[in-house]
Amino acid sequence: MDEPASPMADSLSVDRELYRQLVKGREEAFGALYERYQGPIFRFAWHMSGNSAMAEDITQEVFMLLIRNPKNYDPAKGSVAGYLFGIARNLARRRLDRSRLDEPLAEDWMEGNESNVAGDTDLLGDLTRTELLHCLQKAVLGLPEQYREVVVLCDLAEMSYPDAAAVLQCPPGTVASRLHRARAMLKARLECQGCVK
Amino acid sequence: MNQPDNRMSDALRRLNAVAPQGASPALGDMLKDEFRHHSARRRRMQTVRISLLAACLIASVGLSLILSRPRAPNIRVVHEPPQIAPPEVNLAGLIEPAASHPAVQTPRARVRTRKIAPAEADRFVALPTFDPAIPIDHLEMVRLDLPGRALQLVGFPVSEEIAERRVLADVLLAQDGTPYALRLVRSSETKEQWQ
Repeated sequence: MDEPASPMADSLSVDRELYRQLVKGREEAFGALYERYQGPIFRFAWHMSGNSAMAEDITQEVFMLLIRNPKNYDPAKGSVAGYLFGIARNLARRRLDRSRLDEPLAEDWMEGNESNVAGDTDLLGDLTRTELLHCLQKAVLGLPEQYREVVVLCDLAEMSYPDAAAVLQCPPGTVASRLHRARAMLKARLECQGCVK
Repeated sequence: MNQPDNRMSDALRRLNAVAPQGASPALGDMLKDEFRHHSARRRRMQTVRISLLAACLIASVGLSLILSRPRAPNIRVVHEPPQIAPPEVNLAGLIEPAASHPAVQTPRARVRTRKIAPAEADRFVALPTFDPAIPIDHLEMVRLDLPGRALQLVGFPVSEEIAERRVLADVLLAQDGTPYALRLVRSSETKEQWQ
């Protein structure tokens, strides 16, 4: 699969050219864009929902939107990847709202535990073990949506702060602060679940 | 980034690595099919739109050409030898021979005072000044009370008897004032129609 290492990386001009060809109706261009981004979009949706069927539905909707309204994308407003992730994000939000899957941790619980885990350097040692990854996934899914988004985009999809900020439509500083907070919340949640000693 | 953050990032990267890597191949095939159909549909619609636009353009050009084409005067000249029978008491006799002279039909002619009915137009007699080659957009009809001899001057054939009288005549004038055709008017017609 010809997939970029980072969906928002240096392939901006390639993406734009592919998109231009796609708008003209070139099937190969659509195929190339699909191969480049179906994986990252699917994984983003999967990490956001924890559900393969929903992730597949979201991926399908993103590309169907691309097929039906190819002229909706404005190159002046950002990258193709940002546009696709933006659609996926909105779809995921809508679906999660509908299915009530996003149950954020109670704020008082988070506030109380963040400080305790922040300085614990050995806390995450066990997480390298494969069997604990399930705990981590649960912890990610347990994060409030706005924190989960930054973790998925920056840590899982390895997007840069500015790129993630473009998708989330917020300043890069906000992404950084949310990510810091999200990590702290993850640690707290993992400890709380007993996944790490 | 400190050590716990690095470890967290590593763990998340591992999580990403064990996550499903993409949608099913069936979805890709379905989406590519959909794109193909959608593109074909869009092309068809574009073709239809362009065809319709071209048809409208051609129709409007054709219509404008038809409308802008100069209208023929629609004057039919019947070349027959003039046979004028001078009237006895009224001018009816003079009016009848009009059919035997080159007759002017002006069904589309615009008249200043009133429209000329086709039947009426048939009774006009073309004067020597009438030139069917000159395009005439519209004619004006004026009614004149004049001595019969004046009719002779413009080339209208009248008998000596009529030449001595004063007569009423409708004259079809071109835009430049040239008399093209003429007819004599009955006195009764004068009262009824020329109000």
